[in-house]
Amino acid sequence: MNSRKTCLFLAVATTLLATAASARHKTDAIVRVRVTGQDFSFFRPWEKKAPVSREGLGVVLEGNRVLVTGRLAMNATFAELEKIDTGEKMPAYVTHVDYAVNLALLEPALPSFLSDMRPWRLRTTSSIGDKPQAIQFEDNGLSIVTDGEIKRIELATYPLDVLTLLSYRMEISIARNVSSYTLPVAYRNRLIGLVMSYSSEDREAVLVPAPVIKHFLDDYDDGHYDGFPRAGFGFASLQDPQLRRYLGVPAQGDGVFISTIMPGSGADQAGVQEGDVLLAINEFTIDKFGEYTDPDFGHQSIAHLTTTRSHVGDSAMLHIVREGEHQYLLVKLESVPLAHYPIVPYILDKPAEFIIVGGLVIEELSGQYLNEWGSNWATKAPRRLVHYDQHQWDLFEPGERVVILSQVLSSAANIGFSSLNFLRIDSINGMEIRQLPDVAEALKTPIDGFHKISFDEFPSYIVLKADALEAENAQIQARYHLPMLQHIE
Amino acid sequence: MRLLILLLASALTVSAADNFASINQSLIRLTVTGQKPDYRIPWNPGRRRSGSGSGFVIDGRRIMTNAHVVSNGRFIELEKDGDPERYQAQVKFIAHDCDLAILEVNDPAFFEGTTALDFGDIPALHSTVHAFGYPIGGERMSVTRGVVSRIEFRTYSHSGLDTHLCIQVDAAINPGNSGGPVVQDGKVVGVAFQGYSGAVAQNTGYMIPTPVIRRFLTDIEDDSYEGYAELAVEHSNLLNPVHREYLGMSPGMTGVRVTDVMSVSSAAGVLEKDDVLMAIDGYPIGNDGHITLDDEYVQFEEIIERKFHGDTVVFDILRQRAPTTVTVSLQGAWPYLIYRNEYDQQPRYVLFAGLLFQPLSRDFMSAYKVNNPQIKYLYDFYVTDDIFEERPEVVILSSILTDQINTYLGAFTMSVIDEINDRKIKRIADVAAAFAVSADRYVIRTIDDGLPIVIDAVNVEAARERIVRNYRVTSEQYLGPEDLTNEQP
Repeated sequence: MNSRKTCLFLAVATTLLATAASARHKTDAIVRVRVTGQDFSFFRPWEKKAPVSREGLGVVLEGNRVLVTGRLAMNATFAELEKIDTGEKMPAYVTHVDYAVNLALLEPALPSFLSDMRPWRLRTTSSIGDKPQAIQFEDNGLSIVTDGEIKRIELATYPLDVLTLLSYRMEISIARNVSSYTLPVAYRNRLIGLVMSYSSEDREAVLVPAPVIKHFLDDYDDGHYDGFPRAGFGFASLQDPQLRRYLGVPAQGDGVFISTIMPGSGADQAGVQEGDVLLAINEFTIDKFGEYTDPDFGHQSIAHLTTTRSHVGDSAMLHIVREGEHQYLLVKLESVPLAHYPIVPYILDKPAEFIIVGGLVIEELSGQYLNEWGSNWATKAPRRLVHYDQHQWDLFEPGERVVILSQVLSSAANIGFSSLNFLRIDSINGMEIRQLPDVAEALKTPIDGFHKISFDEFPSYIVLKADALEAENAQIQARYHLPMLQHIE
Repeated sequence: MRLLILLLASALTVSAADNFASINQSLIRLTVTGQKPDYRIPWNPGRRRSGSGSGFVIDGRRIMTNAHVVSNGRFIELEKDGDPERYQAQVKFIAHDCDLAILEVNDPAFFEGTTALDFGDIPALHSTVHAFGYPIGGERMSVTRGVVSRIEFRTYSHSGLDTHLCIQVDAAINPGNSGGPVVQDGKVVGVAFQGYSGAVAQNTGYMIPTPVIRRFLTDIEDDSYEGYAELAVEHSNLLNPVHREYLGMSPGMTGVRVTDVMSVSSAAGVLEKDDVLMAIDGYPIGNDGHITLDDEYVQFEEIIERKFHGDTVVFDILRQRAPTTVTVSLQGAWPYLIYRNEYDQQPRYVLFAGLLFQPLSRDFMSAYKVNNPQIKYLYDFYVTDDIFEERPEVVILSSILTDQINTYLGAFTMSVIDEINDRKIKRIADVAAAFAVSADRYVIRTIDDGLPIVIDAVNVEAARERIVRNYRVTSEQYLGPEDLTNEQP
């Protein structure tokens, strides 16, 4: 009887020891990351907005570095690491960031800061039903470990709306406001992902999963970061038997409809066309919903095949049907540089470029500019600007920019048109404007003493007197306390 | 702002100095039962609504009231003060663009003991007027007194589009006043018609002034109402002295600059971009576009307002620095009508295989609370971006009556239709014509140029019977009155 009691006691003690050990292990691999971020104003491009402090938990990786979400590192002006158990702090630098995949790497100012830490390793396979744990810490260093369950593994649009990549969706109840910008999730002591968003209503966390993290790290570690590749086409599912028969494919069967082609992309260069029916990529058959059977993750959208499962420079063989004919097209997978977009999706870590002349504030339209109307800018921003964004590939050449008169700072030079705003400038002094530097160039050659600035809508154009402009500009700069009249990189 | 303007189909006021007895003998109370068309179920007769308003007897045994009092009316009853009899009336002329209507009464006995009211001129600012009518708050005739507060152009909210001269008075004008006379020195100086809700502004009632009323009465002298003529020329102010100098205007010269001439404008081929409109019919135009007419400072368009289809207007212009004179023959400008509320018309539509096709219109936008950015763009820029030239009617697949024939087509709701079996869809009638041609299948392309809709003809007839029966569709299409469909190019 006595001995049995002892046995029980021992068992309990063992469990306690195990928990303590695991918590201790985690403080070895995780640091608090505090970042002060300061966004650049795009409506008043000579200003920065109010600084905002963000906090998250970074994962210590091999090579004296810390992995966090890109969101945490955004527009950072100051970053520091803090050890959870000792509270020891160290300034840090963002050494690499890819906002499109929402990941960033930080390094401490002194590499030795992380020397007593135990770098975490990735687990790049996960399955639906796995029960990983999210890790948080109280201010006093006590760990909060919450069990979750992976409910879905599927592609999701990442926060800046540029890439659609693999994500894990996990059911979990996370305590809010504790390290909300980056939260590591582990399974059997390996990192499986970072939480990038959480809905307390649905109790659902969306993770940047380990395969995406691995792709990001491998790409960076090879010495040249290429980013994630893309094939450059969009597709629509092909369920309707009436439609399938019309397209010359069996009423029931595989294949999706190619609905869009990004100009200049690998798909474009390989001759893929809108209206083609795509049956397979490499050895993978594509079903009517646009899914294939992934060796690791089962049914997945083909976008996974050409992004996370591939690298820049790889090729993919597309098996298509066009007007009843089977064809095989070799598509080179490339990353799409931000500058390729007529309307650059995001501009971070650098100020907006602008020119102020005669009180006219002139900028390039970008996703960052549109974002000044808030996250629902698609319904809030001026309809024409939204239209430019949504049809940018039809309306403009790759690399061409939409240069706009953003607003007018009232002054004597602009009486009568000081209320103009959000107008696309198509030419100045007869010279076509395809990017902001063209504005500076065109203003060098007034015609008969006037600068003529033309728009593609009302009021068609306005004029400024050339000889008075310099004095006028100086006056406007003084009156509106502008630190500079232009910024072009 | 639009929502805050109340149409006053339900009150009114008078001065003791005015001939109270003759007004009492002229004032009519109207009770109207109408049906409001349902743009979402366009074959239905629509929701019953009843309302009341005011009217008054004018010469020729006619009754004048507001268009909005009798719009969509099915049955109109009249009452006179002190007469228990109810009289039935019909609309003889209705002008939705200026919110006026003329009614006839079958029973000649109705006019016994009535007095026809005469019209006066524009009352002076701050002079006293009296409004008469049957507003809410009681059964008998009401009289309120106020002063003329403001005379300017305003949008007439009944049409939602048209802007005419409008007089603001501080007399209480309430629902039910609509159509009642506003009187000064025994003569009608306006017809009460709209105001603000008390939550927005106090003591602001609006009346239609006599230039607008007289124009209406002249227009119908030939037994039909043509409506207003439009210049359809976009112009910009010339408040900026540098811009005047650029255009070669010497000091003292004034005018506005033509920025665009619509292809369907009265002035197409006569006025050109960059012409300076310096005078209209001899009235000098200010740099802000105003003229002084009958001692009133009004927009120069007031001259056009007072004219009729086929009338001419003479502009003194400056073209390429040379003064010249041009004559414009005035017509309507149909593309603008997309922005006008429709009344007394059944919505136009085609139903095929459960797919409901409808033309884009103001009523369509509000009935469906359209949020689709593509449709919003086409609506907002229908005139300014010349969308009407390619598509006089923008045809939309607005909703789907679900049936096995269309079960895969849900995603196409709110698509803009470009072609059906290679027939370009420029108006709703083209949809009906395309489906009337027998074919093996109907291939419907949207303007997105992506996935087509395919309907196998063999299934259509059986589906038609099911859909008509199950959804109680009383008619599968309505294309509008003949003259309307033939009018536009």
